[in-house]
Amino acid sequence: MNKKLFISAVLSLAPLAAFAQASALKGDPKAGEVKTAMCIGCHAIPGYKASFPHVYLVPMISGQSQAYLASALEAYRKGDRSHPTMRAIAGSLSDQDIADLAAYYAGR
Amino acid sequence: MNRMLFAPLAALAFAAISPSAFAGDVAKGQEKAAQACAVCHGKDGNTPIDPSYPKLGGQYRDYLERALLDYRNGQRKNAIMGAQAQALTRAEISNLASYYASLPGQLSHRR
Repeated sequence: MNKKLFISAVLSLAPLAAFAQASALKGDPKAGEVKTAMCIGCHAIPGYKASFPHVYLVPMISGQSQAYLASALEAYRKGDRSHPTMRAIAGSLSDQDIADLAAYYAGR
Repeated sequence: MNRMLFAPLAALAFAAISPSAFAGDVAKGQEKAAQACAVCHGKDGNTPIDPSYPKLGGQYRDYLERALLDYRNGQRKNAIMGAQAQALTRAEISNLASYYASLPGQLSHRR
C-alpha cells in the first residue's frame, strides 16, 4: 500500500480504536459478579424507578449483549449519556470493570 | 384548597407532566418500527445487526421512551440514534416504545 495512504488510513481509525478500548478488553464474568454492588440496588429490582431528572422504570440489563452494555457504560463515563446517577457510577469504573460487568450481565 | 377540587387537579397536573400519560399505539409503532428500526435492531427487536446495538424486545416502555426522547434532545449523544430520533414525532416515540415493550424478549432483572 502507498505509504501516505496507509498513514491516513491508520490515523482515521485511531479515534475508533481509542473509543473501543474498554469494549475490546476481555471481560471476566466471575470478576464482574463481585463488582455488581452498585448495580443491583436498581437493576435487580423489578419495577424500580429512577426519580431524577425524570421518573421512569430503570432498564432491564440482564441478557443484553456484552458489546452494548460496555458501550453504554462507556457513553455514561464519557458524558455522551447524561443521566447523573449512571454518570457517577460509570465514572468510578475502570476499563476492566466495564468489561467484566458487561460480560457478567450478558451471561445472566 | 377544597379537598374535592384538589384530587382531580392533582391528577390533571400529574397527567400533564408524566410521559406515561401518552399511552402509545402498538400497531402504529409496529408500522414505524418496520420502516425505521428493524434494519439495525432486527425484525423481532432482539437480533441487532451489530452486537453493540441493544436488544429492545420486552424492555420497559418507560425506559425506551426516555431513551428516544434523550437521543432526540441531545441528552444522549449518538450519531445514528440522534438522527433517527430527530426524525420522530412525540407520538411516534410513544408508539415505538409501546410496540417494543409488547414484544417477547430476553431481558430480565436476574442478578
